[in-house]
Amino acid sequence: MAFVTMGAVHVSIDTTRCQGHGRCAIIAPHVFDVDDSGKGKVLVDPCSGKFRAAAEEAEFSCPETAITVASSSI
Amino acid sequence: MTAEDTAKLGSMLHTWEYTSVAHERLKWEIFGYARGQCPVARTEEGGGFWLVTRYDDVKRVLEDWQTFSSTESGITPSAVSLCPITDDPPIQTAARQLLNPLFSRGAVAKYEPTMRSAARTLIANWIDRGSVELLTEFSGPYIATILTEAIFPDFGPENLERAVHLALASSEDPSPQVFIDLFGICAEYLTAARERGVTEDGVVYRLLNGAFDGAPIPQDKQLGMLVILMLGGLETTRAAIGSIAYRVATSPGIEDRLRDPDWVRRDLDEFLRLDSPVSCMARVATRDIELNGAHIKAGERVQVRYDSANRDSTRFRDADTLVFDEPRSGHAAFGFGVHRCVGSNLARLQIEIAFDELLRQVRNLRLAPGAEITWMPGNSNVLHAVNLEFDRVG
Repeated sequence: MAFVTMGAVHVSIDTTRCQGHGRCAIIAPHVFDVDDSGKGKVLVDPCSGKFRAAAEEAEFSCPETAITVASSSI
Repeated sequence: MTAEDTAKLGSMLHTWEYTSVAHERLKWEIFGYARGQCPVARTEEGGGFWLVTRYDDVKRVLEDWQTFSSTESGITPSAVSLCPITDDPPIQTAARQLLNPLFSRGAVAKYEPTMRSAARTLIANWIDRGSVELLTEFSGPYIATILTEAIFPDFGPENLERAVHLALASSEDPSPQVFIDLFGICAEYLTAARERGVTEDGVVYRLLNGAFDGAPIPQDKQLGMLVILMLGGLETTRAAIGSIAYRVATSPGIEDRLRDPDWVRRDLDEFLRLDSPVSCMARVATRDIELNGAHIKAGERVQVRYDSANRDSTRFRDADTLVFDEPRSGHAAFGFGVHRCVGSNLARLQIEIAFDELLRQVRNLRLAPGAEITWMPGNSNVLHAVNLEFDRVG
């Protein structure tokens, strides 16, 4: 249904860049977590539009610029 | 700024000496000048360094470990291994794979009861007095207690006390003998652990049973890893808690922000950016390289200024002040690249619990009359003393 997916975004982490700062999991805990090795992981992709602002703040705050948040075509 | 001031800053930049009190006093002016006029500046002091001062260059150097090796990562190079900070990949990678899981957000949560109990015990010592010197009476012993218990489980109370004492001395009053003694007690602990065998997963278990490239970890690396976990975790977080308390005591409204548990997510990194607990680390060039106009030759050393990167106004608006309530991009306080701080999750939790416990019992934190605020020169951005007064809650 359109209202559910409207504004959904694709979220990804480049794990070769990620050094495990964990800022993403603190800023957007519904979207990101940190795995056992200490690297960030995406919990939901694509993620709902209501988490978009938090996901984008995490993207902006990532010290390694490892996060990409992109508009989803779905 | 007059031409004379500019000339003075230029001259101080090119004679930069990281232990100099005179340089420390004008540090932000000197690095501000450097970022604008001479972002990769040469100093012959301390054996000779290229000072890297802009955010983008700091990030570039720290991310390129092939060109900028960590084998001499101490500003004063260490004669002994402090693995992994004095290693490059692949040994550095192996060491971090071993350590990272022990310092994940989930893994460090188990130390919360130790943190709360250490904080309460210390606060009880001075709560009735209405004043405290925050570094020696709170943040130092608080961090030393947590680290020692986390790193040396089953060491016995007497040994733990000795380890806490040495760890504190390494931070408050460092001398070569203190470092020798600290290595000594870590070696003693490793020997005892080897003899009795360790079955529970933790730092020492992993050091004794881990492997680098299929072979057991050499004993000098085991020892170095143990020592650097103590040293790296202590001075930095001790300094951070002291600096945050100083900012709280001198900036109206900040204490109330810290009473909202969301401050850890929202504001903590801004404090770490402004007063970067680690001021700098070193690298050594493995090949000739040009960096922002400087021609660095193979074998020359680079002093990477985390603190200057964090005050880079091309990256952070109003970089010399605390700016809350607007997103700030990633800061350099924990470093970048493969050597990024292993203990950041532990540090964040220690800071969170320290202020949670503190602000449950005290309010209206303010500088004590006549309190002198001076920053120490060196590897850390740490105050000499944070003398505070407060009222009791309730």
